[in-house]
Amino acid sequence: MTLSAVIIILREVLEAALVLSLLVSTTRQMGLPYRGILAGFLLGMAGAVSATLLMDVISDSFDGVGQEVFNAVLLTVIVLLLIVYAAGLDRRITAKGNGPAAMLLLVLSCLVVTLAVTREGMEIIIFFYGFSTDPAELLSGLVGGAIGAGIGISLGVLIYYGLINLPERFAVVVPLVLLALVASGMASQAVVYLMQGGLVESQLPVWDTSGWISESSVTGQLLYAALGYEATPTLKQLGFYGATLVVFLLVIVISRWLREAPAMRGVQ
Amino acid sequence: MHGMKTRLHLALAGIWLAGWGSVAHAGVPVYQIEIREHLFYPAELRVPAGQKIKLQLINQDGTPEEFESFELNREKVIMGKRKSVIFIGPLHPGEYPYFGEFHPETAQGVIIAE
Repeated sequence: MTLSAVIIILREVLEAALVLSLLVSTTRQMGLPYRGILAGFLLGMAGAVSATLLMDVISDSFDGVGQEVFNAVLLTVIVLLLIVYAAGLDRRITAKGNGPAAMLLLVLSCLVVTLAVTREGMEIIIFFYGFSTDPAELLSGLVGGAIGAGIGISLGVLIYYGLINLPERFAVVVPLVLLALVASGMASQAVVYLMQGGLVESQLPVWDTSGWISESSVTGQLLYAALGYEATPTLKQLGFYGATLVVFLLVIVISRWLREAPAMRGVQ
Repeated sequence: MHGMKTRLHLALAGIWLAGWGSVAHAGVPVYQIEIREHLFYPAELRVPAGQKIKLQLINQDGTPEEFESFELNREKVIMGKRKSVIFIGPLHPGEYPYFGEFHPETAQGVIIAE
């Protein structure tokens, strides 16, 4: 039982830890206070408890596919928030101190953390809820969960230090590209939820790379968290992945260009 | 003129979305999988390949379980003493293992598409 607890908690923590490490490192880079992320974490815990208490209601809604709708909506909102957040990640904005743009970034990071922690935390709570009738099992579950959480948090911390120690010329690009990839993976995952709920027609997979990298392997899990890796994606998933990636990168490039344009006019 | 064009675009987008996401559940074969004492019944389920399938998941246990399959790209929590639904397929012929993520030692099964 301990091993399965390690794996489940690691999977959930890893996904949230990756998003958190990206948000904490960019918050630091922009010289913003951490209170948005901290508030998001606390709100997310409250959100996870609320969603768990409402799980029966959520599950039974939409003809039994309420969970799928809930997850697809959460993921879509996170993707949209991340796009706006990434567009605002610019030292020229935040250098002026606590202006409205800096405040907006703070609120966006708070919301993203809230939703990400709600999503992953909910599953952790439900998992432990299953032990409530068996105290002996609960103990081994908690031990396993602590080990899984420890590994996940350690990886998140490792990624965070990797990000803040990037050489100057990669310091802006790498977090932005990682955010774009994480968001694209989430968009693809949202489509899968809609297919699982029968709300969008599913398709035969386009390819099968499970022989190379199994989704159940550690590498597969890491790639899933970072890139949304799936061994057998459908065309609609790939379409949403690609479209999100393109929109994400375009928004970043255009927002930066718009900020540069007035400065250049000023020079002329 | 401009408004008309916008409306036309919206209508076209609507048709496209309706076609893309059209959900025809009539005639979709329904199969049941039950969870009892952290075991799946049937542990081996044969379904037709190449078409959409509706799976009814019934959890007879008092504790939650998560239906999980990497091969099917599906995962869903079923709370204790509850029923739930997921759609799978179209599938290529082959074997698609699944398991209960909360009790993976015992809760194992396979869906065979043929």
